[in-house]
Amino acid sequence: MKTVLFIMLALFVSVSAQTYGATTQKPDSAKKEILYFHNTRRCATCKAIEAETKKVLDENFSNEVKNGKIVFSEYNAEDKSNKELVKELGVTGTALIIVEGDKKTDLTSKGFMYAVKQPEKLRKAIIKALEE
Amino acid sequence: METFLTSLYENSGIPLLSAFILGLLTAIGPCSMATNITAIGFISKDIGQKKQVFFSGVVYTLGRAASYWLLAFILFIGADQFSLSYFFQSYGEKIVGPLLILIGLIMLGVIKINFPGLTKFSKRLEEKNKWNFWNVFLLGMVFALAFCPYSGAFYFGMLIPMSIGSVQGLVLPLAFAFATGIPVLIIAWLLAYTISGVSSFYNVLKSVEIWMRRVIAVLFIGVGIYYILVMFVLP
Repeated sequence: MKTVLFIMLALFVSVSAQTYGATTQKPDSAKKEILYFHNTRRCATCKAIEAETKKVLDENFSNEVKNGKIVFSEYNAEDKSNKELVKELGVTGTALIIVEGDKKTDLTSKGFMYAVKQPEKLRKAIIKALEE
Repeated sequence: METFLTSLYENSGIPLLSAFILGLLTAIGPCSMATNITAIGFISKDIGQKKQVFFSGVVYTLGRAASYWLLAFILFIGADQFSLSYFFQSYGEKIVGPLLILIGLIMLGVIKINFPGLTKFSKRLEEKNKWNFWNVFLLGMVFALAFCPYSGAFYFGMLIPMSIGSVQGLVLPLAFAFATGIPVLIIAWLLAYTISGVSSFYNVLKSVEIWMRRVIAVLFIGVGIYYILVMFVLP
């Protein structure tokens, strides 16, 4: 009897653990996060990347930002408190990454190539990544 | 120029050309300016020896190539890309300022290094009118490693993924390095074969050569102070 009770208890624990895990780990597919990383000292291009991203959000996605479907956050990549996030996303300095559930779109290279001289190309890439 | 290069990059299906364009973008980028000016100053102090100036430009570029290639090779044989690029992008630029000031002070003779092994190096820097292959080569190596966010994104974010996929890819950092050295190569060529060709100007330059050295040392210190201000005082 004791064994049966123990097995039942073990089953209950494992099932509830799975359900719990499923609810907390399930990525929020409706939410898109734009993560902008920078070092303590920001170069001109680094600042331009942030400015262009914010412009896109203001001009094209203001409703989504208001209702929390798109969240913009800024992090200092050199700050110790962001160390784990930096490692998890493989960020090594200035970076612009869009995360949606398990999907990760890295726009860093485009940012450095276009932010200053051809910002419209960067904006297009951000819009495309957010609309996908 | 940048717009032209980026569109060329977008349409380039040839990795070698892509690597070269990334190098050019790095070379004309805002943060390479200070190191380029310093390097040009350093190699032009030998203006009396025409060919030497151009040859210095070539050796400086070779030094850059050595750093870019070695770093790519270390990553190719399996070093942790995240840690390495994080390290260089966090500290690369911070080391440049103090280092330039140190080199400037050694050139002026203000600081005398007496560590065994380093004495020879500091003596070389102090020696007047004596050109040394290794000084210029080392300068190229160090400046290449002084990654700023802009050059870091092009090197670690775009060139390295192309380069470390296969052994053949390891030729790409060399194309990148050659392109990053182009501004210095062009100025070195102009200094060696155009300016020094004008005989009166050349004679003037030759007579002030002793002063050139001090001017260059001050340039090093000035650029070093600029880096320290930008990196630590006015973030």
